[in-house]
Amino acid sequence: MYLKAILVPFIFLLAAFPGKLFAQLDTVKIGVNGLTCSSCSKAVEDKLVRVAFVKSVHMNLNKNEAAVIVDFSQTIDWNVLAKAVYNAGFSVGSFIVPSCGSINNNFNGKECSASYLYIGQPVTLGQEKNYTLIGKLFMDKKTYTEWKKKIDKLALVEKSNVNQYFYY
Amino acid sequence: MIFRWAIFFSVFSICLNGFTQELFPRAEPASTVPKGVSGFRFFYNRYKEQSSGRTKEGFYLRYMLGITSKWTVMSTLGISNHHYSAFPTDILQYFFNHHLRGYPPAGFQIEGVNVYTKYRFYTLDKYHQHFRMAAFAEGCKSFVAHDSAEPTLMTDNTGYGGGIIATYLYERFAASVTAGYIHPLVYKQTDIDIRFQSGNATYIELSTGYRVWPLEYSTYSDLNINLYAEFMWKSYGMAHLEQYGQTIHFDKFASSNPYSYQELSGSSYIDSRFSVQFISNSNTRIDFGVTLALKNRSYNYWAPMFTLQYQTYLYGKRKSKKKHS
Repeated sequence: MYLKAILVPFIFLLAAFPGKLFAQLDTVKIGVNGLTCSSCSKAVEDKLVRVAFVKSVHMNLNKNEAAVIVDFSQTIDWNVLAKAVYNAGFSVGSFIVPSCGSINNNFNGKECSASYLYIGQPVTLGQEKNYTLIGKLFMDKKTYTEWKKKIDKLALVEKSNVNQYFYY
Repeated sequence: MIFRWAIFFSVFSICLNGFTQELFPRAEPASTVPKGVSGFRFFYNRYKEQSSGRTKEGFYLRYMLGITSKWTVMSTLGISNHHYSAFPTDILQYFFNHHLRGYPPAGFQIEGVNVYTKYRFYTLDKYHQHFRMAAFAEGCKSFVAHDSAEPTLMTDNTGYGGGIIATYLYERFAASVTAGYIHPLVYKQTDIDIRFQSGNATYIELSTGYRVWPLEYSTYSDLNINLYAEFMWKSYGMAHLEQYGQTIHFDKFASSNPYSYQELSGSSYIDSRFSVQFISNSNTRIDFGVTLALKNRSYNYWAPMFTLQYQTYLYGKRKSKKKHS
């Protein structure tokens, strides 16, 4: 009887707020360019950890790489996360997110594959654990210029404002 | 002797340039304060005026704010015993004697307020390196009677200025060059009908430094120890003094009062500041420095001038999220 009294509200809560009760956490790796000092890393971490869907941040102070624990049960916007690095006064060198396989094909409440467009080498397609994002905010200028040529050649339109990202 | 030590230190710092930071105690780097972050810097300088044996001191409090990721604004309030708040009636006696022991000393007072703004207009960031350029403009409202040809906007002269900064960081090596201009405005004093204006100035600063500790970071709480060598070349024009509508020509005092003549004449000099910096918790920093004359001298201070700085950024409270380092 007591068990039933406990389980029924719990099951109800689980059905009503699954995302709130079970955060889907995974790691995003951001290579930060333009800094070497720990004070600079601290400024980057401070900006990243304030982003709504970020759970926690671990900065590698020597490699200047941020391991960002992201709550995928919330609305995700990778542009917001990248801009946090720029707001600290530095630049994104690389931006690596979990693949659709890693996050059970659910991204912002819809089919994950609709949010990503692969434009890398075909041989690795479907086997990646992570996606390296391509975009002005996600890599250094030189690398982006090279990718931009490919994007233009394929006559693709970047739609990062509607959460559709190119990756390789 | 001082010159030899300065040369030795410069060569030494260039040789060890694998370990450098760009948190220069004297110059501003092209990098800016993070967006929405504010900070405070307290700085203090002290030197002995050798002609009078008096100790001259300046206390400065600076507030810094990152308006955007590329645009920083800061304001500095200065308090010192460097100057009188106004020139006394007998202006020539003042110019000839105020650096001497027998002349009444200036007391501590609010020296002025400086407002400085910097915009980073070029950024080339790479892994463990960057090249950045910024433009800056500054203005100062001074509340004292500055009495030498060399203008400074921190915070001796009312005036304005600006310039360009280029900062290069490679691994742990950083160097920065600042080229600037200062235009002092006319100081007017109606009770004795005085108009005094320092000369216009141009200057170039070269700043380098290196991190000696830690060689590898383990946590944010690692104590950082950085050494800096900064050099400045400054050139300025002759001061202009006018009383009762008549220009007072300093040339006629050149032989009888050479010090006053030199102080009021246009000149140029090179000086240097050598500093050691300690940073705790990757935020709070304390710098100890000494400024030395290398070629000619500034008549705004007597070398050696000792400096102490304390700076901290206020990141604001975070929401209750976990963070690791």
